[in-house]
Amino acid sequence: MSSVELLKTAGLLGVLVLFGGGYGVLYAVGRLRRQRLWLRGGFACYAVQVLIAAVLVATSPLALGWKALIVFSVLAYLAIPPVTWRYLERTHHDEGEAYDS
Amino acid sequence: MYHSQRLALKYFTAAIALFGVMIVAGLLAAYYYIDPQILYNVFDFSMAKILHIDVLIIWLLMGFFGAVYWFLPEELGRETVGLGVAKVAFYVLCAAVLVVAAVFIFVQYGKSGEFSLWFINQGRKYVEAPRWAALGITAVVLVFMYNVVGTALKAKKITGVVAVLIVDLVPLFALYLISLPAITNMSVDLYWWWWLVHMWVEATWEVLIGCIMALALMQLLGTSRRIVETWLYIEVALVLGTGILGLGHHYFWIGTPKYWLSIGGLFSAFEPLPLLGMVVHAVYDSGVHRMKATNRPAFYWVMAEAFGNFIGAGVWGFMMTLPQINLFSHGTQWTVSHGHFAFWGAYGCGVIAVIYLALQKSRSVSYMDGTAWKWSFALLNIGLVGMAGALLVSGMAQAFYERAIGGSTLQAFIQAQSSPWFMQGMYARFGFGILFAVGYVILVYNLLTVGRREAVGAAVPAAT
Repeated sequence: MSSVELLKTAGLLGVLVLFGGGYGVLYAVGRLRRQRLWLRGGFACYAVQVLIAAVLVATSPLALGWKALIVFSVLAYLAIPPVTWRYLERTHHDEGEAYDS
Repeated sequence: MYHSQRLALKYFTAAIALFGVMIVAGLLAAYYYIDPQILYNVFDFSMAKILHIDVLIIWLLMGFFGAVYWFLPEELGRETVGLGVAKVAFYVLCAAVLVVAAVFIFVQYGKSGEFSLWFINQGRKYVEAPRWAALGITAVVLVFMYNVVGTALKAKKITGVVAVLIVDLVPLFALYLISLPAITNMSVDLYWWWWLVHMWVEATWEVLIGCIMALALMQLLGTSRRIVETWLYIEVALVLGTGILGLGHHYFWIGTPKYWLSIGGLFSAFEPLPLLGMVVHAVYDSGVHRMKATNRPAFYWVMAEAFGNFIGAGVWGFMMTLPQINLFSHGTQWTVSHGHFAFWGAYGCGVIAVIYLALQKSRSVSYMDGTAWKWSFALLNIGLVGMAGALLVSGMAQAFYERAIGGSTLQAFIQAQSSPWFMQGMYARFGFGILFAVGYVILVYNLLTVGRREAVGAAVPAAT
C-alpha cells in the first residue's frame, strides 16, 4: 500500500463509520420528532456511507475479504437503527414509558 | 445514606484527585514533544508517560468501585457486607498509589532483577506498578468481590444487574493476575499481557460500566428495571461477542500465527455496530425525557458517554483496525489518539455522570443544574476532541513519513518526528490539553460547590 493510499483508505474507513453514526442519529431524531426531513437526512447519510463503501471496494488496495466485510458492515448499519428503535418502542411501550410527541 | 455510600464518596474523591494527577502528567508528557530537553535525566518522558497511563487506570477503577459501593445497597436493599474490610482496602489502595507514585518519581528504575520487579517497576505498559502493589490491587479487587457477593447472599436477593456484575468480577480479578509473572519470551509475554489490557478495557470494564450505567439510568431517568436489564443483556452480549475476539487486533505484529490477522480484523470491524445501537438508544432516551432530568449534569455526561464511545472507539478504531492499515498505524500517535478518545468516551464520562448522581443525593438536592458544569462539560469535551484530532494528525504524519515512505527505519523515525505536520499536531495537542485542564479545574470547583451554593429544592421542571 502506498503512502497516499494508506491515508486515503484509513480516512474513508473512519468516515464510513461516522456517516453510519450520522444515519443512526438523524434516523432516531426523525422518528422521535416524526419529521420526514430528519429521516431524509439520515437516509442521505446512509447513501453517503454506501458511496464511501463503493469507493473503498472499487479503488482501495484492501484485500477482497476486507472489502466483503465492508459491504456486510454497511448492510448491518442499514438495519441497526430501525431494529433498535422498534425494540426500544416496544419495551418502553410495555412499561408505559412510550414517547408521546 | 448508607455507610457504603459514604465509602463511595471517598472513592470518588480519590478518583477525581487522581484524574488531576493524570492530567498534570499528561501535560508534562505532551510538553516533552515540544521541548525534549526539559527535565532531561531528571524526570524523563518515559516516567511522565507511566504516571499518565497508570493513574488513568487507577482513577477509573476507583470511580467504578465508588459507583458500585454507591448503588449496591440501594439495589439490594441493605447495607454492603464487609464494609470494615472495604474501608481498610480503600486506605491501603490510596497508600499504595502514593508510594508507587513516589517510587516512580524519585527512584524511577532499578537494575534488571527480581528486586526491581518487586519494589520499583515491572516495566510492562499500564501495569508498571511493582509486584507488591500489584498484589495489593489484587487483594483490593478480592475484597470488592467479597463485598458484592456477600451482600447479595446476605440480602438473599439477586437482580439481573447484580448477577451480571458478579459474573464480570471473576475475570476482572483473574485477568489482573497476568500482571505478576515476568515472562522472558517477548511474544509469549505480549500474548498474555494483551489478555489483561484488552480484556479489561474492551470486555470486563465494558460490562462493568454497562452495569453501572444501568443502575445510573434507573436513578437518573426512572427507567424501569425490565427495560434497563433487557438492554444490559443485549449490549453485554454484543460487546462481548465482538470485543473478546477483537483481542486479535493486538496480535497482528507480536509474533503470533497469521490467522490472528483475520480473526482480529473481522471482530474489530464489528465492534462499532453495538455502539451504534447505544447511540440510537441515547437519542430515544433524550427524546422521552425531552433533554430534561432532575440532574442535568449527570444526564449530559451520560449522553456524552454514548456519543464519545461511538466516535472514540467506533470511528477512530475502525480507521486503523484492518491489518493492512494497522501495519502502518500501530504504535504511532494515531493509536494514542484512539486511546484518548475511546477511554474518555467509554469510561471517563460515565464515572463523572455517576459522581454527579451521588452528589445530588448526598447533598439532598432535588434539582441539580447551574452554570459551572456546562463550562467544564464544554471545555473537557472540546479539549479532548481537540487532543484526539491533533494526535490523529501527528499519527498520520508518522504513518505516512516513517512507515509508508521511510520503511520504519530509525532515520525515518527521526525525520517523521521533526516533520511540520507531526510538530504542529504536538503543539495543538498541548494547547487542547491546557483547555482540558481548565475544564478539569472547573469540574472540581463544581463538584465541590454544586448543590451547596444553589437553592436546595429549587423548582423542578416538568420531567417525564
